[in-house]
Amino acid sequence: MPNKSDEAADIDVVRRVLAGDVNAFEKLVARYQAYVFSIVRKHVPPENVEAVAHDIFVRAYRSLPGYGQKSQFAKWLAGISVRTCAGFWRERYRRREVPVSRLADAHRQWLDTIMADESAEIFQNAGRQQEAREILDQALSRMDAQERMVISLIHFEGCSVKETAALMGVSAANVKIRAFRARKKLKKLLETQYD
Amino acid sequence: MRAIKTRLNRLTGILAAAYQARADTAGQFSSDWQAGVMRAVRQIGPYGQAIRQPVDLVQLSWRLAPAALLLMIILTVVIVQTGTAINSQMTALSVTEPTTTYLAYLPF
Repeated sequence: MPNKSDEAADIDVVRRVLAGDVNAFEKLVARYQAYVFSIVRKHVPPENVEAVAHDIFVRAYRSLPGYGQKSQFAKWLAGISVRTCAGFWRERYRRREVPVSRLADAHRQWLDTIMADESAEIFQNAGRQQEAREILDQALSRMDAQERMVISLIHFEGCSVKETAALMGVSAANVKIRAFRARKKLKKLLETQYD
Repeated sequence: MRAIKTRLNRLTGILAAAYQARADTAGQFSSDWQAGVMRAVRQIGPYGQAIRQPVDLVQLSWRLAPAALLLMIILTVVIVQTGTAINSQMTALSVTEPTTTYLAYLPF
C-alpha cells in the first residue's frame, strides 16, 4: 500500500493524465501492477489473471474522471479490481463455464483424514495441499458471482462488511444478505460430508 | 453436534488457508503485459480529446426513457380521442376478407 507522498504523486499523475498526457498513466500501471495482481490472483484462476488485470487498468483509465481524489487511489483501484473479478465470474456463469460437481472420492478421503487427525502440523499444512484448493473451488462454484466475492472477502480475507460493501459498490445490507446465503451454501456443502 | 461444529470450523479454517496459499503463489506477469495495457490505453485516446467510450446500452435506454414515456402518452391520447372502433373494424375486415380488403386500396 502507498504512503502519503505516494498519494500526492498519484493525484499529480491522475491530473496529468486527465490533462491529456496518456503516457503518464504508465506510472500508475508500473506502481500498482503488483498490487492489482495480488488482488486478482485471489479471485480468478491463474490462467486468467493477466487478462483480468489488463481489463482492470483499461477500466481504471476510462473511469479516471470519476476518481474523486477523496479516497486513496489504491482503494479506488481495489474497488475496480474486485468489481472486475466479480464481472469475470458473472460472465463465466452466464456462459455456463463453471462446472458444479460433487466431491470426488479422493476429496472425501482427504477430508476424512484431515478431520480425524488432531495434530496442529497437519492442520497447518492442509491448506497448502491441492485437495484443499479443489474443495475450495467446488464450494465457490456453488455460489453466484456476488456471493463468491462476498464470502472470499469476508471469510477468507477478513474484510469487514463496510469494507466489502465499499469494494463491491453495493450497500452493507446487500453484503450481509449475500454473506448469509453464501455461508449457508458453504455450510451445506461441508455438512454433507458428515451426514 | 458440538463435535460437528468444531470440525466444520476447522475445515473452514483449512479452506481459508488454501485461499491464502493460492494468493501467495508468486506468479510473475509476462514482460510485455505492461506494454499491452499501455497499447490498449493509447487506443482509447488521451483525455482532452473526444475519448472513445464504449456504447453503454443500459445507460442509453435510460436516456431514451423520457422520450418513450412521451410517445406512450401521445399514443394514449390519440387512441382515447379517436377510439379503437376503426382499428377493430379494419382488423375484422382483413381477417374475414383478407384479399379484397387490401386489393381495394391498391392504386391500379
